[in-house]
Parts: sequence; C-alpha cells; structure tokens
Amino acid sequence: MQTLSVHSFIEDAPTSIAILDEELCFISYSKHWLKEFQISDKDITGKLYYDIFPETPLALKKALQQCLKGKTSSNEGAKFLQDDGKVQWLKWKINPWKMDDGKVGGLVIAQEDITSQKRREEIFLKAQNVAKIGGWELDLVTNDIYWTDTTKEIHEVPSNFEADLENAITFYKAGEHRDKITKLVGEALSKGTPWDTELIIITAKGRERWVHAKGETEMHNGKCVRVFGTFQDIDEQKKAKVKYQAVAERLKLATKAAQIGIWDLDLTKNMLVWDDNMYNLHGVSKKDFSASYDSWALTVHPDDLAQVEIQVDEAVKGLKDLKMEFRIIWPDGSIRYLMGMGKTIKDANGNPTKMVGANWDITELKTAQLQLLRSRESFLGAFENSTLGMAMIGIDGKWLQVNESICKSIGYERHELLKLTFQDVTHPEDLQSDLNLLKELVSGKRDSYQIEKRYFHKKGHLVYVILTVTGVREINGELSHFLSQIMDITSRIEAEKKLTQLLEVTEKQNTSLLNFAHIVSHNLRSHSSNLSMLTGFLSSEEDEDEQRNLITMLDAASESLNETVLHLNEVVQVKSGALNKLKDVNLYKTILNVEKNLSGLLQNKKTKCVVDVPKHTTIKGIPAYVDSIFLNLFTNSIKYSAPDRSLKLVIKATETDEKKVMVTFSDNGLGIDLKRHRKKLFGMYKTFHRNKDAKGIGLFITKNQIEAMNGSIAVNSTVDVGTKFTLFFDK
Amino acid sequence: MKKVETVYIIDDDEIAIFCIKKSLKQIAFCDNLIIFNDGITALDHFVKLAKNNIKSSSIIFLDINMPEMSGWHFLEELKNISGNEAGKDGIYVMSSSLDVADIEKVHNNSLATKFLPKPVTSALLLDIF
Repeated sequence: MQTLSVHSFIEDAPTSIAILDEELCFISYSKHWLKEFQISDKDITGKLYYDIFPETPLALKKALQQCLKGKTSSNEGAKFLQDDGKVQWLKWKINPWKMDDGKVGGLVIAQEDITSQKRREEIFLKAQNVAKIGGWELDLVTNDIYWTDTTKEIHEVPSNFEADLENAITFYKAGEHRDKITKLVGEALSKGTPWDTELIIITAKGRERWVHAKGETEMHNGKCVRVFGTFQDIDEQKKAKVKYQAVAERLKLATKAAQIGIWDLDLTKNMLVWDDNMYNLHGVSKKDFSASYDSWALTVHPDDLAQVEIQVDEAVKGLKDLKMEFRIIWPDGSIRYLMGMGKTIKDANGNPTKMVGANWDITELKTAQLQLLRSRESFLGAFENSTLGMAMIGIDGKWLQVNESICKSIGYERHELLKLTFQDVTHPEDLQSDLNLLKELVSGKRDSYQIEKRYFHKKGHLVYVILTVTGVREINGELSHFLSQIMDITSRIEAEKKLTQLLEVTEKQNTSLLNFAHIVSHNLRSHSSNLSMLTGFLSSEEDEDEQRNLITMLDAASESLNETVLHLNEVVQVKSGALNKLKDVNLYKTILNVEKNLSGLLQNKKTKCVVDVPKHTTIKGIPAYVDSIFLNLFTNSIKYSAPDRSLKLVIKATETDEKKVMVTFSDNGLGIDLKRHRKKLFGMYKTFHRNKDAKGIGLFITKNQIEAMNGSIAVNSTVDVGTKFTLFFDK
Repeated sequence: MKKVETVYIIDDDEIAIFCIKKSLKQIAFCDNLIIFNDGITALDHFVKLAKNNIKSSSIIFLDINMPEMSGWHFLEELKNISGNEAGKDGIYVMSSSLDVADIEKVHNNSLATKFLPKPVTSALLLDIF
C-alpha cells in the first residue's frame, strides 16, 4: 500500500480520504481532506489523527478502535454535539487495510463534514412542516405517486397510504376543482406545462381544505419523463383571504351605496390613490383627473384650504385623527360639502408613512342644517322683534321664552316672567275657558285657538289681549310646546286715541288752512281790485291833475299789497311750524327783556308792571315766537289802554300738574266787547292797511305762534275794565 | 234812470271809496255824496238825521270788512234807530272776498238789498240806477 502510485492516487482523489497507520497517524491523505476540514497545516503526514481532530466524537473514536481490530465502520451521517455546544454532522466509512501477513496495518478512512448540508436539510424539513408543504413525485411508468409525510398529512391519510394518479385526483373536490386539476395534469403530461394553482380537496376524513398545488415537469426529447411538485395546505390563509375578500366586497358595496370615497395617501412617495367613489364625489372622471395631494388641494374651496391643511398636518404629525368638514368646488363650479376622516399609519420607527381615510358628501345635510339655522334665526328674529307679544310655553304652562313685547304688555322683566306660569298672570275668570281650549289642543282636537282674555299687569291693572295659541309638535306627533301670540288691545285703544288726536289736529289745521285761504283771497283781492280799478281810470283819464292823483293812489295801493304779502308770508312761516325745533325758553328773562325794549312806550303811559314769574320757569318754545308773543301782548295793552287811568299790567306764571305752564297777562285797559268780537279776535282781519301798527294781524299771529308750539291762548275781557289773556305752554 | 238825493259810502278803504266815487260820476250823478270811514260815525250821523226828522231818498254802499264795527254789526245797529230813513232806497253790501257765506248773509238780511263784489265798477252800478 505504500507505493507512490497509491499515494498520488489518494492525493488527488475528489473526496476527502486518508490512510492511517495502526497508530492512527496519517500516511497519506487527499488534498480534499485538508480542504474539507479546513486544516491549515500543509503537511499532516505522520501526525496523529486525534491531534488533527481533537474534538473527535466518542462514537468515531470507538469506530476507529474497532476497525483497527479488523472490522469496518460506516456512518451515513451522525449528529455530534461538541463541547463548545457546536453541532457537527459527520459521515464516514472506515476500512482496515491489511499487511501481507494478514494483520491490520492501518485504516483507510473516507470522512466528510456534512454539517451545513444537514443543517439545510433540517431547516428545509422544518420549514416544510411549519408551512405545511408536502412534496410528491409521479412515476410515469406505474402511475404510482410518491407522497411525502406532509402531503399525506394534508390529505389526512395514514402514513402507509399508497397514492396513484387516479385516487390522487379524486381527492380534489368534484366539479370545478377536480376538472381543473385533471386539465392541468393532462396538459403537463402532454405539453410539459407546469402548474401553480389553488384548489379545494376533500380529505380522507371528509374535510374541505384549500391547497396550493404546484407541478413541474421534466421533458426529454419532447416527452415528459418526470412530474413532481409541492403541495401546500393554505386552508387558513385561503379562508382568511376569501373571508377578507367577502368583507372587502361587502365594504366596497357599502361604501359605494353610501357613496363613501376611500383614499390612501402615501406620505413618502406623495402618492394619492382614490377609489371610484372619490372620483364621483369630486365630479371628475378617472381618466381626466390624476389624483395627488396637490391636485386634490386645488379642488378644495380657497376659504377652507388653510384650515384643511392645518388639520391634515396635525393628523400627519399624529396629534389627532383626521376629522374635518370642508367644501370643494366641482369642475362645473358647484360647491359641495365633504366630511373627511382619516388615520395615519406609521412605520416601526414611528414615522408616518401613509394616511388612509374616507370622504363623503354632506352637502344635503349641510344645506338642511343651514336652512334650519336660517329658518331658526328668522323665526327668532321675528319672535324677538315682533310687536305682537310672543311666548313659547311649556306643556306645564311655564314660560319657556318670551319676547320684549309681551314683557312690556304685562309689565314684567323677562327673568321675572320666566319664573311664572301663564296661569299666574291670567284673570281667574278667563282661566277656565283658556284651559278648556288648551285641553282640546293637547288632545289634538284642534291645532290652535284664539280668545280674548285678560292678564294682570305687574302693577295690578288689567291688560286686555287677544291670545292665539298654536301647538308645536315633534316629528313623532308628540306635543312639545305651545306658541302664544298676544295682541295687546290696550295699545290698540291707545292707537285709536292717537288717531283721534291726529284727526283733531288735522281738522284744526284744516280749519286754519281754510281760514288762511279765505284771508288770502280777501286781502289780496281787495288790493287787486283797487289796482285794476285805478289803472282802468288812469287809461281813460285825460285831466293831468287827475292822472297824478290816480298815480299817487296806485302807489298807495301797491304799497298796501306789498305789506299784505309780507304779513301773509309771516303767517305762512308760523303755519309751517316747527314742533321739532322747540327748546327750553326762560319765561322770566323773556318777559323782562320785552319790557325793557318797550320801556319808552310803557313810561309814556306811566305803566305799572307786576311780573310774578318764577325765575327758573322754562317753557318749550321757539325763542323768537315767545318774544313776539309777549311783544304783541304788551303793545296791545299800550295801544288800548284807557286814556283816563295809568296802565297797570300783571303777568303771572304757574306750573300746572299736566306738564304745562299757565301764564296770565292782565291789563286795566279799554277791554274788548267779547260778545261781538270773540270770534274775530284772533282772526286775521282786513285792517292792516289803515293802521301802521298792523292792528288785526297781531293777535292772529300770536295765536298761530302759540299753537305752533303746542300751546293755547284764551281771552277774558270786560269793556272799560280790562283784558286778561291766559296762555298755556308746554313745560 | 232812478235818481236819489243822497248816496252814502261807508268804507275804511280810501282807494275803494275813490273808485266808487269815480264810477258813480261816470254813470250818474247825485246831489249829495257822503262818505264815512267807519260804521260808528255813520250811525251817529243817521241817529242825528232820524232825531231831526230829516228825510231824503238815499242809498248806502256798505263795506263788510271794517275794524271795530263790521258791516254786519252796522246793519244790526241801524235796525235799532227808530225812524231811520237812510238807505231806504237800497243798502248795497260790498266785499272783495267773494265769500259765498257773505252773499248768503246779504240774501237773508232784511235791510241789505244786494251784494256787490269789489271792485265796484260802473257796469255794476248801471244795474242799480
């Protein structure tokens, strides 16, 4: 054996092989040996086997010893655990070699480390078990099929079960599944096409089970020579998937029916995926619109965009889930309200990767809400601002809400009224009829009723009203509250009174207007007739002296006309009076001032003047009118003073309780024959042209001025004793 | 053409008096034309005439609108003068206001003969004389 040829044969052998002597030292070894066991020594000739493999497992040591005694040992692969816990798989074949004398000279040892190969196998097997993947192979000669244990387990057949092509196919569920596998196997056998499919089998125990069947073929010269494949139990996944699909389908149907759009925004790629509903919601077609965050943002109403972007940003940051209402604008310009909800999905590091959400159209809801709001607002506006008293009254009779008018009518503050019931303020005699009608309203016999009733004002007096009560019902028909409208008839009566007053004023003004028209026609006409006569004479007069005379008269007549027009103008100004321009006028100061202005005239008449007017008394008036009134009264008294006695004037003023100031102006003059003149006293009489003092217009203007300030004047006089004017002014 | 001995004009308007005078001259003449500027003076005069039993045919032109004593007041007073002959041939009541109420009043007054709207033209006077 120690020949060179053997040595070199061994050295180049493609396996790891070595020859040991009886001391178990290396005589010869293949290069493969060094490689296989990763021996760093270049030459191990003469070295002890155990030195090279210090970790030789016990079993191998025993085998080596046995073989030295002439036996052989063979191991197709055994697993050894080393001291350091490492797993080692070894495969060996040991034969003793004998010397010429027949004694064992040493050992021929072929040894392989199959650890990595074994490990792969082990993992593969484990994986097969875990993934429930079985294998199979079809013998095309016998039609027998080799099934691995897992395959048998999947079929739920005993381990000694012998499968053939026919019974293997009958495991597939009759119908679509069996038909499909038959066709696939047929095609594989004839054309060599592989298959990869998911089908249902019925196990030996009668259970339905989803399997993933894969088949590969090996072709040789256009003929299939081998068919093999894997067989995997995918029942759980498949059922889960089918279930998921069913759920997904249901969801899809639901979202479609509800028109809920689903979207998916990839935050890393900024990619937006929309389902069909989303396109419908935005009024765009799939082919015309490329969904991206930016293109979507363009559809958002500009007024809402800022708010929307804040919300999206907060959701992306994980501050809160997305939930927002916003408006979008459709391509046709119409505005839709959308509700959007979304959730942010994060990766393992907590970084947001995508956002998934749903949108739906709430335009109708929103419109309805807005309409409701609007109608509520307009109702509340009408309620609060109505001149009618309005109240919402609970079933228990309590005021739920009252408006200003009703508070005003019955004199309570709002908060006071809300603590009461309508029974509390209703006149007891009117309560029963009200309650009876209310009962009919509650029972549904009527929708509303109207009665005239009386309330008690907070101050105790009665308030007469016309009450209209309407029942307000919930959608389900249940009575929710009553709506009462209360028309205060007291105010109507007041309004009537006002109207009557207005009528009186109008009548007065009418009379005065008629009077005025009369004056205008008379006064102006008297001048115009004079003028026309004079011009008539002048045109036919030949005598120059007479002509001159006529012209002088014409001058006088036109002067009179002018004077009259001026007076009328003065009167018109008073007539178009200004109640609005009234201010406080101090009576005392006014009277003293007039007295001062007329001091010359008064002294001439040796007048004694008594002014008994409180210094602080003021009246509502126009200062110029008040001046003029007293000027007139003073001058009248001076003009008609009695020649046989010195003039005495007494002026008194007192405030009455009706917000008036009464002024009396008395003199001891000639007096007026009231029996004859009372009617004409304050009239505008055709007298001014004869008197420079414009007698006849003074009292007329005085009266008009007083009335323009809402005052009045009356006269009392006895001939040759004196005259007393009594004036009333507003305080 | 009727002739009267005396014509009285009672009016406070000088121009009106002048015009009546002139119109009278154009259509007739009378022996005696007496002017009063107010009713009181006229009444005094008529009272005197009645007292002295002086009688003559006469007509009166009386203005309604006068101060202190209006034409109507004058007529009332005139009734009270016993034996008065003044105006027995006609009392013509004048006014420049074409007031229907005045015309009506003239109709109802037993002393007043006719209402004359001012201006009193010669044409109007022709109807009288």
